[in-house]
Amino acid sequence: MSSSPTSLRLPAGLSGYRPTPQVMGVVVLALAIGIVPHFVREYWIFLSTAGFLTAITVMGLAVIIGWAGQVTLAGAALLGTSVYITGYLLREGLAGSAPWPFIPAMIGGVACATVLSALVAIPTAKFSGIYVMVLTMGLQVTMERTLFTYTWITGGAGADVRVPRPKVFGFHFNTDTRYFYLSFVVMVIAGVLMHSLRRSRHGRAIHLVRTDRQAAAAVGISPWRYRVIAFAVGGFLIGIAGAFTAPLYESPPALTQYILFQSLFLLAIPVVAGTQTIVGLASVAVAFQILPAALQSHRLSVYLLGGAGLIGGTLLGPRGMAGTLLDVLQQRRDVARLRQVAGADEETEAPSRPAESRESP
Amino acid sequence: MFDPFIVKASLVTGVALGALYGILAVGLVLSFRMSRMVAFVHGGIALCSAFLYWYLTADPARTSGHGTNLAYATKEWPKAPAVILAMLLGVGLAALFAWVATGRMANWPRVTVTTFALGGMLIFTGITQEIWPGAFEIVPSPFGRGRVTIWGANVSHHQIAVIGILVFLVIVLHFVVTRTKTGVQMRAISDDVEAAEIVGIPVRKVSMGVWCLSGALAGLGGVLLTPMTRLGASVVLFVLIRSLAGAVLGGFRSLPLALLGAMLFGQVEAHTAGGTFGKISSGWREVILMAVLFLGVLLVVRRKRSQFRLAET
Amino acid sequence: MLEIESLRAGYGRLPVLFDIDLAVDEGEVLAIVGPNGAGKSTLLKSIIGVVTPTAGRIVFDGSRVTHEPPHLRVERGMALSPEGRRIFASLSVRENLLAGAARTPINVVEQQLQRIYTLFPILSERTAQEAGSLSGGEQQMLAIGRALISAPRMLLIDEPSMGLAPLIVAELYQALHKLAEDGIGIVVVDERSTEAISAADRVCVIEKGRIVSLTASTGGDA
Ligand SMILES: Nc1ncnc2c1ncn2[C@@H]1O[C@H](COP(=O)(O)OP(=O)(O)OP(=O)(O)O)[C@@H](O)[C@H]1O
Ligand SMILES: [Mg+2]
Repeated sequence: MSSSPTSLRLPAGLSGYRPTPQVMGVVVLALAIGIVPHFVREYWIFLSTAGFLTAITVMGLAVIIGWAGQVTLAGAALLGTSVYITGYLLREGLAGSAPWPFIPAMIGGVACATVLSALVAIPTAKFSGIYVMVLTMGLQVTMERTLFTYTWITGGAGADVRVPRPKVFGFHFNTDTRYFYLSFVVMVIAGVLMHSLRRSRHGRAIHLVRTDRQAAAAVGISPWRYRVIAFAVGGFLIGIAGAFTAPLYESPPALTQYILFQSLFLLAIPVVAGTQTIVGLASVAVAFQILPAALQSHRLSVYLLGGAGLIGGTLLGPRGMAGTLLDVLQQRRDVARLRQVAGADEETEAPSRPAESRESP
Repeated sequence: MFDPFIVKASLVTGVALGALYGILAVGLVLSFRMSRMVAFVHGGIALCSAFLYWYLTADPARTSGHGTNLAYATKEWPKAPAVILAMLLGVGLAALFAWVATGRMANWPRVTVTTFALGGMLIFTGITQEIWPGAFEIVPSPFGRGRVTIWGANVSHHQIAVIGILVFLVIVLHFVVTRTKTGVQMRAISDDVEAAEIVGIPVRKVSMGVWCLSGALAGLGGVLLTPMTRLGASVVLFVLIRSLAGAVLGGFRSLPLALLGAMLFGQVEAHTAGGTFGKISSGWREVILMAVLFLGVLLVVRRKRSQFRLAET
Repeated sequence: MLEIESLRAGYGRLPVLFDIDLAVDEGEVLAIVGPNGAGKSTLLKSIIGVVTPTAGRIVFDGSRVTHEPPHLRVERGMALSPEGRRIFASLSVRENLLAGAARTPINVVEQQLQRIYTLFPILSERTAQEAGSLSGGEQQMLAIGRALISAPRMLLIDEPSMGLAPLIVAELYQALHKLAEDGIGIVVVDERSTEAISAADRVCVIEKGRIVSLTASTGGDA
């Protein structure tokens, strides 16, 4: 893993330090999750729920960025597809059947998003990054003008269209607090899934493809197959987020939540957070959801926040905010360690940024 | 089955649309050649300039909030100074963006610098949304509302002017790029930035100049496009994506191919919307455009790969 | 004419050069030799200004140029023919030469063009050809010509003999010799160290980013 260039140079005993910030993050988060909902207004619980679902969405984007080294501008389109398909199945079912229960409806929505994401990836698998950006932008606009305009699927803007909250294995998640916990658990599962996939053989192969296509090809890993897989996994995670967003508002969400600008806003989150720490990703996602509402009196528009995120994130480099923070912590520990080891006359080499998938211009 | 009247009218509209896309596409190609980025930021710049132009020239009685306390207090300036100011705004925004972007990004991957450009677009769009939230306005043309009949098709002065501006632009640019010292320096920079620095080309100055020019074009594009449609963030995006598509066909490097691409998309758009092939919903239109774009990318990538192979052997 | 004092430079956080001290006079030919990766090209690139020094200073004609951008140094009279040719592939031969003359007066350009064409007659036959389609040796000639176009007083040449036939290399070194007699300072880095050393007045050996020896050339006259 390139996640930490410095850890390679450290004695083995030190590597135990590495997860500390993450573990602490999890502990703090878990405490907060357990306590906070009992003290704040419904509105904030609701927003946090949306934040968790956003976190799942951006995990999907992070898979595509981190594994395939590609940027997709169709994030909101995939999300919206899953939201509206799931919502439709929950309300109407298929071909005159009764409304579907939650789990089959969810599978329907997730399948659509996964297939759609993989569908762009297959023909573009051999294209360089900027063309993928343009074509995914095309997909986004196409979805806005097709599926999202069919009011019989989306449910239109009418507030009288109801999407029921899910009932899973007999338990009804009918209050905002219940839904809050449900979303949190789903987010944790998604995070664990992403983490274990990354550690798997496939994850390592994907990483190799991203960092060095030639080397990957030389050891018999097909670069484009893994790119397609990364897009499919990304689409899957975004689909999950969409499926759980569908009943969140109890009526179909507005189209404006799934336009191109929203894609860019979503993209800003992994760009700011970096793709390497899942906890960092989730925290930034929740923050991006809550901040605009918290600062409403200062008129912090979502666009400005997203734009600042994209610009700041790219300036920070491929490891993002969380990665940069970890680098700094790690570096300080390294320096302290080197000071202890007296007589080391070697130059203190600062860790250099790992290169993101370089491609020739 | 083809109604000659509709075909003719669509052809002419297509040329005008293609010219509009072409103006933005030229800016995209120029920025790409200087900075290796797909300058999505031009979308934001076009939007800002369009809003400024509308604010300076529109009749307050025709704005969407008219009669309510939400009405926009637009000025009713003459058109010419408003156009110039809008273009100057474009220059300023592009210069600001290029000042932040260039230099430090020389070794960044193209996808990263392009993501940076997306951030620029989002911020500039956000600014207009802060000032005029949710605006979706009718914009007066700088060339009035006159229409003439040419070759059996009813054409507005605005459309003729757009075509004329593009033709003028192409001639001037062709001269500058192929015949002048600055043109040689521009092409040298886009071939190899470091070598250009080594041989003494003032790279920062030249690329800043080119960015300013493309910013002016984006501003002009914004001013020219809104009278043909309406003024709103989504409208500008739809035009931007067609210009992008045109630029893609030129691999973001070739100006003539980018213009050709823009013209092609103008025709596709005009004929599918105008009814040459019967009634086509806007959704299908988008699908058709995407299919053409996709085929275009496929061609470009093929061509590049064969060039690459030639270079290898 | 050129003085370098305790110069340090590198790429990003990777240091390459350590405490380089060096001076080149008018009319002098200095050869720099050393193993691959020693930092020879990096030294030339920091002199012309595309690599920014982290410490030390570079003085040219009595003015400090350490942090000046490259185009100002070219204007002052430096020129570099970079390693690996780096010609502008989509420009014609003539445009390539002119690209190196951003601030050079037109009469000087005309005069230098004549010089370059006499030095490398093949180039004069190919003025309108796209440079990317030249042969490797022709491209190398073009790269050297492009450095000469601004009539530099300090010429830096990196690996000039790469891809050139021995006969042409000999001619090239003769030409460099002539330029030095006209009072031009020349720094040359070359794989074929025998040619370079025999043409040089002094030889500087760099290893791992440090100067390990700096002596008068033993090769005598060419
Ligand atoms: N653009 C670059 N980015 C990062 N490191 C570089 C870059 N260019 C050179 N280096 C590193 O700097 C060191 C010195 O390189 P340099 O090109 O100066 O060597 P050199 O002496 O010219 O070698 P050669 O004889 O092979 O040309 C090498 O270790 C090389 O890896
Ligand atoms: Mg070298």
